[in-house]
Amino acid sequence: MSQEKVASFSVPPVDKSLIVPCSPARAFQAFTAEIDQWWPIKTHSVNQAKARRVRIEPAIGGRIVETADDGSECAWGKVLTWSPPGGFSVTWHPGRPETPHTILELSFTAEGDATRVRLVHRGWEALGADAQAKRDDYNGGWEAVLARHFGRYFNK
Amino acid sequence: MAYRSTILSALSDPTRREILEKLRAGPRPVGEIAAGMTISRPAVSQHLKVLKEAGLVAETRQGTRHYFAIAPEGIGELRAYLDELWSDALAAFAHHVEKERRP
Repeated sequence: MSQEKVASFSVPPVDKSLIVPCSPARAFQAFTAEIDQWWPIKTHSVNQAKARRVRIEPAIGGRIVETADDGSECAWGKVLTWSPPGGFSVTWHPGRPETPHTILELSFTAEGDATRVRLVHRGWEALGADAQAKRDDYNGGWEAVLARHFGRYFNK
Repeated sequence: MAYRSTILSALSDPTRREILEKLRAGPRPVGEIAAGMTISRPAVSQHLKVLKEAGLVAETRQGTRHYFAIAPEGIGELRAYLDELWSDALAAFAHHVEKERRP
């Protein structure tokens, strides 16, 4: 890298969308009430192979909760906004304390007979903003779990 | 690999983010990075080590001086990883919605 090069370390939001062949109301219901039926919990969870269920408590302040085989619960985040069928947002901190957290926003918009589902994951700045964040809190957290599965992104 | 060396945990520390902020203007030796900070120079070196292990900072040598600089590809990898995480989840969601339409 040249001496003059200025590089930003800010992480732009992840912004993804897809079209599903149903109404926004159906998409919202499928995404939230039925999350346990489709979320890849054996790979995308804190407890991985020992993870059993995930659910969203459908109200502001409700949690996204993972339940393990032994019945223990682990919150991934908390509902910030809840506006079915248009969308919802949650804090996102799987495997870690409530702060610092990032923000996950889902929106469901009609496009003809189908629905555009848009997911925005933002707020990475917050990860550095909280002086209470202890490095050790992250040991064994979801980043670690995912780092094993997506190791090629982390092992240079 | 040490879990704490992952990018997200490296970014989670406010001091390390302060160091990255200082490096935005360009590569600096450790002495310049430590100037004006409340922690000791060895502590700064330790943080730089963590940032290096996470791939967020690169070290170069010019003569006897060591310079540290932001490694933008580290951030790119973090985004790629998040992108894949949500792609997986959304693909699973789409499959769930679409399968009910099949007879």
